[in-house]
Amino acid sequence: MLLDANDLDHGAVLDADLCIAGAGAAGITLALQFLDSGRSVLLLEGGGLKRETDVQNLYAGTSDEPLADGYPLMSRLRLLGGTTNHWIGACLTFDPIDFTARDWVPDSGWPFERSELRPYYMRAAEVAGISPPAFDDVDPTLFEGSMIGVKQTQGHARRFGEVYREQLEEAPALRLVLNANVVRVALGQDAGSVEQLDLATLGGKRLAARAKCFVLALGGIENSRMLLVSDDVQSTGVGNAHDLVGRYWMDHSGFPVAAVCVSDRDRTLVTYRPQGGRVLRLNEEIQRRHRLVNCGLMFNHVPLIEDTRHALLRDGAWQRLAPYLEDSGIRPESSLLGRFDRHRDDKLYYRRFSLLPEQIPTPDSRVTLGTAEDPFGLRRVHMQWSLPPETYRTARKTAELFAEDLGRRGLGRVAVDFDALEGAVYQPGFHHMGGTRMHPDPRQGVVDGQCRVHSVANLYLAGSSVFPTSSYANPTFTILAMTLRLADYLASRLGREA
Amino acid sequence: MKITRRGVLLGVLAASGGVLAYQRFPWEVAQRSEMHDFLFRLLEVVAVPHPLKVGEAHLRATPGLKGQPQKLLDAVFTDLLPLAPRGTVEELATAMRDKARRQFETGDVMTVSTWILARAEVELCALIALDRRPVR
Ligand SMILES: Cc1cc2nc3c(=O)[nH]c(=O)nc-3n(C[C@H](O)[C@H](O)[C@H](O)COP(=O)(O)OP(=O)(O)OC[C@H]3O[C@@H](n4cnc5c(N)ncnc54)[C@H](O)[C@@H]3O)c2cc1C
Repeated sequence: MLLDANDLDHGAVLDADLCIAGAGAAGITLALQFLDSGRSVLLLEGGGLKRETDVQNLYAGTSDEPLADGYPLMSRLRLLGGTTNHWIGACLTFDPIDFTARDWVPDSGWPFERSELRPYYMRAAEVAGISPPAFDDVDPTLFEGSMIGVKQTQGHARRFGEVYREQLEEAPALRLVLNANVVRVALGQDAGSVEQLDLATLGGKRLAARAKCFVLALGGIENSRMLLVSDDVQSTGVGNAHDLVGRYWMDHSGFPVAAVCVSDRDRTLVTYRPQGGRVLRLNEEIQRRHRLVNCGLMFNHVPLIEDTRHALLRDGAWQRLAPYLEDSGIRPESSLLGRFDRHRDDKLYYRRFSLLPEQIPTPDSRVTLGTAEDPFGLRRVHMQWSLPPETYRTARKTAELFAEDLGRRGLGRVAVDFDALEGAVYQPGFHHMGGTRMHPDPRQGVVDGQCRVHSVANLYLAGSSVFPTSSYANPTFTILAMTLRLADYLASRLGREA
Repeated sequence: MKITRRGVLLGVLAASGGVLAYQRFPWEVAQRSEMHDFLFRLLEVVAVPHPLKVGEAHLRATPGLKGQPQKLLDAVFTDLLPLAPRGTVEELATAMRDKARRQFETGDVMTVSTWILARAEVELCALIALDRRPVR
């Protein structure tokens, strides 16, 4: 059933077995698992069916550099389907090493291994509308015996709101309520469980949702914010006894500072077309040996540059062919060009690529509350993103090892603008992760291994805010797998309680 | 075009004024244009995209080399020549490619002008950069 909170009575209280707040990738995926479960489900969505400016503006906030103030507003969408309304749809599994505690990556390690997620990744593929994922490296022969592995990305930008709306609407035991903004997680007086979620509409109505279990699936910033602003029972917010909520926040940053040059002789890398969606990375053994974080190498979505050696020496062509190089110093004599006429047809190929290092988790990188308030009187977010310098060392070393590997195999030569890398103002990738990290120990994580907020018996979090580490891989496929895992757990919990 | 080993070495030496080397290799002097062409052909097999820029940067970073072409010649060619009994570009190119691969294997690489290259490639580029006078 589809409801609009604007049409409900002021003061109405909605009841269900399970209450899911946020109908984006995570919230919708979770709700879909309960359609035939015999459990009643409330799916609360702050936005409507279309993007509306005043609703979207609820996301506005501020940021410290290098993030722009517009970042919290621009990097997610507040309507049914959430940010899947403009995601690109790139789906990739995390690597086994992403789940491992590594002594050179502080605060790394998930409470389980990747094998735990394997069946959920398979189910996630169905939800995302893609083929079953390749867990192992593709192209085993191409890089056989090398230090490089190749991962296959699949891309299908499924708009969850559009695709699943009908199913959600028709499910008898599910109520999808639009324009229902969660404005407070209301704890009982003992602070050990959630009594209700307070809801509000921009039109001024106040409502409440009650359930046996509550799941916040508000996205990788808003999950933290909602716990922080709900500070009436505990002054530091919900689940924040150890000052962890909002901390260890992460985003992916790409450094487009490298290129590979390939000759006519071996054009293997020329076929790595962006459509193929392949990501290269160093294998685990090399990462361990050099104490590197996991770092992807992604060929850019720009056309391959291809030209003859003759053109290489023409004035101006240098800049065009290798824009990452300051090349003004060299002006070959025309006689030299004449000699190159003989090699007019010999080709060189250039592909630019980005280095995508995993972000090293750090407590200083965080979602906090700013001073400005939204129309509900809730403090808006203030983002502080920091990337530990070790990230640059990894990017640099990864590029060097990649260059050596290609050189050894005669596959090409690599250029990296190391100065640009060191001085790079890093650009965010709109992949919000962390903030409510998962750890079995309440002093080290906001949620436990089942994504339950440590101190609260019936409150769970879905989405990438629970990720302890970020990998280089796009997060949403892992969000879906984690959500399906949570669904199984909640189904059995609700079954037991019934 | 067939290039003799003598031609290879003397072409470079003549261009850079290496009298000593001339005495060590008393062969006829090859055409400088052929010489240059030959060196570039060698580079093609290893796909070094900016030979002049790389070579000049290496010479700048290693000031002693400018007056010591023999050092570069030895470094690049001494172990290549026995592998090219017929002295053809193709033979030398293959030997050059193998040498570069070996150097990548052992980590004997250099970063010059942003390019991460085998040492032999950089030295070859430097040889080319030594000869920048206009051709008569
Ligand atoms: C331009 C862009 C491209 C992207 N491309 C990719 C990609 O190719 N691959 C990939 O893996 N990821 C990509 N992402 C990231 C991806 O969109 C997110 O990881 C994913 O949408 C997160 O899902 P979610 O359900 O946690 O959050 P969201 O999809 O943001 O959903 C959160 C939902 O909660 C609702 N909500 C928020 N606050 C409240 C509240 N207080 N009360 C009620 N409801 C509320 C929102 O309206 C929204 O519907 C991209 C992101 C952007 C911005």
